[in-house]
Amino acid sequence: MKKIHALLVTLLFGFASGAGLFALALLPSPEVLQSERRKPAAPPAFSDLRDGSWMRNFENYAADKFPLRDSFRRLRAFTALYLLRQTDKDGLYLDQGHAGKFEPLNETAALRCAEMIAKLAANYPDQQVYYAIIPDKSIYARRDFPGLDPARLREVAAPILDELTEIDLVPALSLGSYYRTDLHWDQAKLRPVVEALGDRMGFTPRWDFTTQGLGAFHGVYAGQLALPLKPDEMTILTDGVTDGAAARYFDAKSGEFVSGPVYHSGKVTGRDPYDVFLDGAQALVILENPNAETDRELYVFRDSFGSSIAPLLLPNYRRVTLIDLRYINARILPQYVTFSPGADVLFLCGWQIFNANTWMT
Amino acid sequence: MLFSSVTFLYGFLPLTLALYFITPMRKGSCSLRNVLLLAASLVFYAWGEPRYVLLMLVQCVAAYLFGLGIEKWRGKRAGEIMFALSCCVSLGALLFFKYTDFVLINLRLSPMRLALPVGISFYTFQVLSYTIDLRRGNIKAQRNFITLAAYITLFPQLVAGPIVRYTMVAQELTLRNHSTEDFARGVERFMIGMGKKVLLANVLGQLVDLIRGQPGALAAWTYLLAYTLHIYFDFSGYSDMAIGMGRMLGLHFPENFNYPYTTRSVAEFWRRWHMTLGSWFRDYVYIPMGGNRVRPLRYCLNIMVVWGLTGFWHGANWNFMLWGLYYGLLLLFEKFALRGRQERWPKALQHTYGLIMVGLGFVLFDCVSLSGAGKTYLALFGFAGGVNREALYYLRSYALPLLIGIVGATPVPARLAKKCRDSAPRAFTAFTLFGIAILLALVTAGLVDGSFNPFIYFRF
Repeated sequence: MKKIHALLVTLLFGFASGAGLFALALLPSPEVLQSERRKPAAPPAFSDLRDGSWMRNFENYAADKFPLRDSFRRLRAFTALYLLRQTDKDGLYLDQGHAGKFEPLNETAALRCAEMIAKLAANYPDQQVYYAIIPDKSIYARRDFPGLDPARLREVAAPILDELTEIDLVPALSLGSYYRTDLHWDQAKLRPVVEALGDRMGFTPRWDFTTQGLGAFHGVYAGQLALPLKPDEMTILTDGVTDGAAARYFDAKSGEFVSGPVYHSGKVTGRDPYDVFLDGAQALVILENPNAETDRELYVFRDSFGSSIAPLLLPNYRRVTLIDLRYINARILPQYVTFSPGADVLFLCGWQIFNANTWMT
Repeated sequence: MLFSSVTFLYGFLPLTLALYFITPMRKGSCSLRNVLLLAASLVFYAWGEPRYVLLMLVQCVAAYLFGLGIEKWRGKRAGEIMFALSCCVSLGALLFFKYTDFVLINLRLSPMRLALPVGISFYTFQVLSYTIDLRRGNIKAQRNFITLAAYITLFPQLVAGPIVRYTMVAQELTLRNHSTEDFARGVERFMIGMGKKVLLANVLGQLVDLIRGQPGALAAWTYLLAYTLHIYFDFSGYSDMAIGMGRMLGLHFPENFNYPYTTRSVAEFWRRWHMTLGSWFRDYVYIPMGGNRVRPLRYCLNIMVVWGLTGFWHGANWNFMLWGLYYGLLLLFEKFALRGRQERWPKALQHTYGLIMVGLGFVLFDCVSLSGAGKTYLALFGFAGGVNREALYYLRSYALPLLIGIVGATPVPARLAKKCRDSAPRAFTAFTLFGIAILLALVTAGLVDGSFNPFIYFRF
């Protein structure tokens, strides 16, 4: 019996490790890690031997090309959340059908971001300047995760931004306002947010939109968590204004603005389906409403959340200019954008922007 | 290279094992296989530390040549010179790379910022044990350089022990048996170690990182519990893997842990924790100094020197020195103040005493600065608040891993396995196969999706 036992154990280990060896050696690396929305790690260069990064880089390369990678990632998530009953896996959680990621407030980064906004806002004495912080969806999850206190963020930011008009978006949102598998808010659920903005910025929101479905998608957290989650439905809101609007996108290479649609429906099947809204990562976008009944203009310093709400603000403005300081430095902004006197300026920042302070000034 | 990596588990290890077992043995001699082992060990080391392969080879050559000299001129002046030179080379490298910056910083001079060669503390002690035992006449010098170099660089225990003395494996280095039973036992032990590291130590390590330095008594005690378990599973997991791989290769390494958290005193803890280091200091430092067969004052000095060195061996920093001296003081306290009276205490109290003393010691071991350790001690004793949201959240999130860790640190799982093996061998085989398959899957999941997680003892 002992011999059979030993033989079986040996065979099992030999087969498993041998299969892994052959798979690692023979299988090519995937071009893209679809669920993680990134390219796999490249094999290390020989120069990495000098700085001691060879081992780490090779391990990243091997782990990224490991066969059944997504299945093993799923197993790890399952182990953490269901077997070990942990409330999150590396900060990623699943609650009430929503996947999310806890990002505790980084007060230092938040402070710097608030100072940056205050400094930028000082450049616009002839405009009405507002700011609104988009809360992370995690504050609506039924969890007592420490360090996710929007009141604390306001405490940090408010004294520095006291010259600006604050728009509190916390009451206007709920967990249902966000996609279940993504960090972003769902455009179709933004009516209370537009109303909150209109209330403080002095416009009466129009809500004559038609909902158009573009298909199912899995958001960024579904990929990160690696659990089999029900997909979200990507919808866009359209009306005569969005249909008739002209969108111009800044092309950094030519330094010119290039025309394009407001919604990029084909992107729903791309790496980041949220690129449907204003083509995703863009330094500058100008939306023109040729049928506007007003001359008001709006400049929005924003992140990706701003892409989906901008079309909903367009009926109340003749022109909406979107500026993403992650992709353009504030110092060169005057070369491309002239702020009209009397216009509205809105700093609309997600929790992540405050936490990581990724704007360039 | 890390054991707990995809590269090792599915690359280096199966390839090395396959090459090892297809390498023929000549008349029962393992010389060809030792060549393979040496080559594999050098690749293993160079993978993460290419700069210092040469240093390790110099150590091997020095040990080989001086070893032959020590044996030839044993008891003569020339032999003593050979021994002194050998110590200069091996200890000199350790002192230079590990302690130079410590000395310079404490003399308020600019540090050289030398990178510590991985595993130098371990292989230096192996070399020292070889030359000291040669000088004492306990062993014969190894005349085959490859065999000696294979022993010093042996990849399973090269970078984090157990510290395998030459006497323990001298015979197996030249003649060893390979059997399926040994290989299978080795696989089982290796997988248990891998599970300890990837599934428990890494998870508990996350908790340690999250809660270290948080204010409040609950956070501090949670940190203490998590770190105590984390370091045990991390280090004993490594030792299990080393012992398991040694056994796959036909080598029998000494045990390094014997359920240290079942201890009822500090003295007992050190008979159960990092046993190969404890016995090394006992045989090569403590006993030559006179051990306990000396006057009380000298005995105290012996103890404090040995434990100061033990602490300093772990790291060139005051916290490690204090950590060692802390144990020296506790051992003296148990010897002269308690005088075995704690054995009459209720068992639960004995365990509590042992564990709390050990845990408090680990605060010193883990701290970045002494002021940080001071803050943790204050928090532990309630001088920095009580319960806070962070601690409660993390305690809730990690309750099950902590509980599994607590049970896993006792002999209960091993006793259950033995009972099962004895009473139902067929079921045990099925259970073992299932367990290994599940462990492999879970470990692979942890490695594929995990972050880079070196062993704690790599930095020593």
